[in-house]
Amino acid sequence: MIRLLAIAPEDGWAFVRSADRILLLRPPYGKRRHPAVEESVVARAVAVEGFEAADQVFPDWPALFAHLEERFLAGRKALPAALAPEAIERILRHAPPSALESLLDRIEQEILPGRQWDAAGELLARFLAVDTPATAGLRPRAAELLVSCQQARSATGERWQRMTGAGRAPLATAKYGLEPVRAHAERIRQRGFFPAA
Amino acid sequence: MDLFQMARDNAETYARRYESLRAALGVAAGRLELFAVTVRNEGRLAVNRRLKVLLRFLDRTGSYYNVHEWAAKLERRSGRPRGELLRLLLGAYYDRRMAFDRCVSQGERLHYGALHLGGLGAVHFGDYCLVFKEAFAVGRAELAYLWADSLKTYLLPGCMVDEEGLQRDACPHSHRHYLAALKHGADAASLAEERWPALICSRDGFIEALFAGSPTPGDLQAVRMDQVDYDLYTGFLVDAALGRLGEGDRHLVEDFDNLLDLLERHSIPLEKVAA
Repeated sequence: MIRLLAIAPEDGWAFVRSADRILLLRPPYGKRRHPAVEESVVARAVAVEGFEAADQVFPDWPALFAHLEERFLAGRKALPAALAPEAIERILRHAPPSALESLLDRIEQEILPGRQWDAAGELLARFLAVDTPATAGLRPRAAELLVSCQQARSATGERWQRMTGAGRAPLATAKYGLEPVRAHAERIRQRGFFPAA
Repeated sequence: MDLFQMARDNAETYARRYESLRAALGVAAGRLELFAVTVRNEGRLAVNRRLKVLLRFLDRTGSYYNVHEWAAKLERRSGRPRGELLRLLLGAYYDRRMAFDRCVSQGERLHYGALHLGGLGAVHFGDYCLVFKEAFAVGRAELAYLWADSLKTYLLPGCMVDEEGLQRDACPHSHRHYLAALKHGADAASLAEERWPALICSRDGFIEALFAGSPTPGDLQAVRMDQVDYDLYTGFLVDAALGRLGEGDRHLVEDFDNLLDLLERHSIPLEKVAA
């Protein structure tokens, strides 16, 4: 059982008591450590720092997090899933070198192997549009990744075109029918390789 | 009681107490003096704020509310009596806060911060540390420092205010380095200089600053944040590009981008600190 003691709903922050400890929660809840604090910290948070006093009990963590997220989102308008290009550039413009390196690492190790060419291309284009001391040292690496991305995208496109052509081949179409051949070509395009027979 | 006047009246006493400590420290007196000089030159008034609160401050110049001002705003908006709203907002802590604010003149106008020498400040109350320009503090009559968290240190059982303690400890901005030296000097003398900021202000404790007035974004020297948080927001760029960013995280990164935009507009540096 978890007791909510104080909350700053618009930021999703909360003090809760769980198993005789008071913890400070803030979003994103699953990606942070939640430090233990003293009772006096909660007192000051409410009396001085703009937290609202609360007294509510939750059976488990998912129920608590769902409540905090609901309060956090209350009154907020829905946003488009994609970030605006200028927002991406602004975040990159202020980013420390460690954050920029992590970003390139994820593009190299996660996005490119996953064949998410559009996602990688967009992030790398935004990266190369930013000119700061922190990005300067990483520009060659970003440019290399962008070239790799474009080459891989082209190679995938050529394979797909060959299969589309095969789809038009009268013998294959006569044997399997046009739609199955087209569907097969599309699967190959999405995977980026010819699956084993 | 006029806390700010008491602080001004204590200036000479603080200077004398510091000299006594310096004399008592013997060979460590040089380190104590270096610590005091560092605090005098670099010690700033700072407050910690959460993102939405900071956005309101930057977006609408002067909207820097304490709980009384916030309740007054809600009263105008909702029509509910301010006292009722204050009880609702403060809950079990209402009596303590009211006891202090009624004891101190201008209690309802007070804002609370801390003395800052670097680092991220009192991060349990807000992840952004707003460091004020020295010009905001110098010569400000309505600014005083106390030994520690006033609600914890100067409130006795039964919500009685320790007026004697306030009288003794209130310190003006001009003498804040003496207060810091008296509180932390013995430890500072034996610690490396890079550990002094955490000694002055951290999640474990702080020298409290109380001030009245309405600061504006132009009064800020810098805003500081944890580099780990910046890494998190940069990671959100990847999640967003892959279409994997949840609704809550999407709003977090939107708020953060709004912050960067406002800081740029106000020409306020954002300093990323490795905690």
